[in-house]
Order: sequence, then C-alpha cells, then structure tokens
Amino acid sequence: MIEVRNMKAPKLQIFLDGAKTSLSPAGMVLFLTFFAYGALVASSNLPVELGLGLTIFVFAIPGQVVLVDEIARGSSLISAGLLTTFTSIRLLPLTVSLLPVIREESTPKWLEIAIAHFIAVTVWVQSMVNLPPLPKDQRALHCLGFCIALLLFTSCGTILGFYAAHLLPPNIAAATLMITPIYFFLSLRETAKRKTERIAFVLGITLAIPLTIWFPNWALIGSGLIGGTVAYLSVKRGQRGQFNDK
Amino acid sequence: MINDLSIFLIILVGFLATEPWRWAGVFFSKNLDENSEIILWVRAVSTALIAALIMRLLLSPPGSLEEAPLVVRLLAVLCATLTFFVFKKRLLLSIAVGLVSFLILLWCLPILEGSPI
Repeated sequence: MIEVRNMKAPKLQIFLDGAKTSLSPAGMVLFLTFFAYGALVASSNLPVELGLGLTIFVFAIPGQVVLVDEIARGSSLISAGLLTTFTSIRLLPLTVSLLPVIREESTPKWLEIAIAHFIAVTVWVQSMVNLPPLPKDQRALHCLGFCIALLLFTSCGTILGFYAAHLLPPNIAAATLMITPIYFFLSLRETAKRKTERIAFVLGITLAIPLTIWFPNWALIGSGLIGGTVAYLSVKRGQRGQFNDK
Repeated sequence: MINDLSIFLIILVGFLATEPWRWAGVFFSKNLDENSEIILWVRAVSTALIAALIMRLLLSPPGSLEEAPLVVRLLAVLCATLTFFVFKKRLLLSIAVGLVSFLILLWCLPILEGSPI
C-alpha cells in the first residue's frame, strides 16, 4: 500500500517508495506482456537488440507489437511507422489528463518530459490511483521511481521472453504468443468506455477477418480507418438525431 | 536477419511515431480539449486498429503459434474472457486460465481427432 511520508522525506526515499509500488499485480501483468512481446520478437526472426531498443525508447506495447508484426510481415518502414503513429496518438489524451495530477508549479520541465516518456495505460491507471493521496511536491519523484522500476521490469521481460521462445518446448512457446492477443482483448474491451470506442472495437474485430484473409497488408489500416470512422460517424449522427428530436 | 542500421532505423521510427504525442501532451496539457471531435475520431480509429491487430494475431499468428489450430486459439481467448467476467475482472487470473486452456485443448486435440465421433 501507499505510504504517505511527511513533507521533509528525503528524495531518495520518495523515489524508492515509488519504485516499490511496481511490485503489484499491474506490474506483474506488464512484465508478462513484455515477456510475450519478447517471444513475439523471437518468433518473428528479429534480433533481441531491436526488441529491447523498442521497449526502452517506445515503451508502449500496442505500438511495439504493431511495429514488430508489420516489419516481420515485410511491410515498408514508412507504412509500419504510420500504423504505429496511429496506435500511439492515444498517448496524447493520457498524458494530458495525467500530468496535472503529477506536476506542481515548481516541477522542472525535464522531469515532466522524463515522466511523460513512460506514460501508457499501466502508468496512467496506477498513477491515478497511487498519486492523489500523496503531497503534491512528492508526486513527480514518486512517479519517476515507479516508471524506472517498470522500465527495469519490462526490459528484463523482453530479454527473458526472447530467449524463452527459443528454449521452451514448442507448445509452451506457442502459449506465450497467446498472451498478447488475450491481454489486448481484455484490456482494450475495458478501456473502450465510450460508445464510439465500443462500436469501433466490434467493427475492428469484424472487419479484420475478411481483410486479414484477402488483403493482409491492409488489414490494420483498413479496419482502423473504416471501423473507427464508421463508429465515430454513427455515434455523431445518433447524437444529432437526438437533438433534432427535441 | 537485418543489419545494425536497419535496427537503428526501426527503433528511431518507433520513437518518432510515439514520443511526440507525449511531448504534445506535456506542452498542450493546459489548453487541450480531450473531448474535441478530432480526438474522439482518433481514439475510435486507434481502438479499431488495435482490435484488428488482435484478430490478425489470432487468424494469422506469428511463429510456432501457427501450428495450433484456429479453433484452439479462439477457444483459449473465449475461456480467458469468461474467466474475466466471472471472476470480477482479474486480469492475471484470466490470462493464466486462457493459457492453461490453450495447452489443454492443444493436448486433447489429437485424442479428439482420433475418436470415432
């Protein structure tokens, strides 16, 4: 549980308190996710340096999986990059809504940018729960400790997953590759709270079936743009209809 | 295998595709409307894109997962989803059930195929 220290707590102590909060179910799920991602990198015949580099410099699992999967399927770097861009735009609203919780007037810009590098779903959810009980001047450092600990977890997960894919018996190795779709399926369903996103989720799954079979290279961008736009427009039209009814 | 330059370029592309959104979040967090139309549309597109990614990973999976039959892959996700709802959204437990059911189904499959039914 979160310990609330007094105002004069030493900086290192706050940092370590933050790091300790990574030893939680959320931290374990994240480790497992990156373990599965490491196995994916190995199964895609890509080198471990690439997998680890992306974990450190991207630190957002959906984008990493899209990028690795696209590269493994022989897409061009530009189209793989564009797809990754689309999956990463969701970090913008996450950052916008989380930063006011973390910062105070005196928080240096570099610290905000350093923390922002780690903002993705796990850090967002955990920080929204863990930080508000703390005094404002401790939050940034506490959060940084949490993020650095997660970086350590995820890097180890990536490396272990990569080598496990080669060492484990084939059935178990296949099972580790199931972690990513199961995890994405459950967590995306949970985070898709708005009506637009729920419709987009169903449309994305449905459209991907014919597209993967007949146009595998266009499956992601096609399902994403068509499914997302149709979901957005249908909800918008529904809202306008309601206004007209009044 | 790919060379060092390609590795560097892929990581750079990954970074450039991701990090600017976080920077934008830092610099515009004081005056950006989360509920603006463009953000709503973008969230819808990225949700559909990741949903499609899940389906593609299941339909046309990487590596040794390809050797497991499609029905086993889909049933494993179903088992995990059922666990998730029955046991109050416990993510770790649900993933574990998904993996165990995947292995059990995989192990049962030759027996089922050999049966006269």
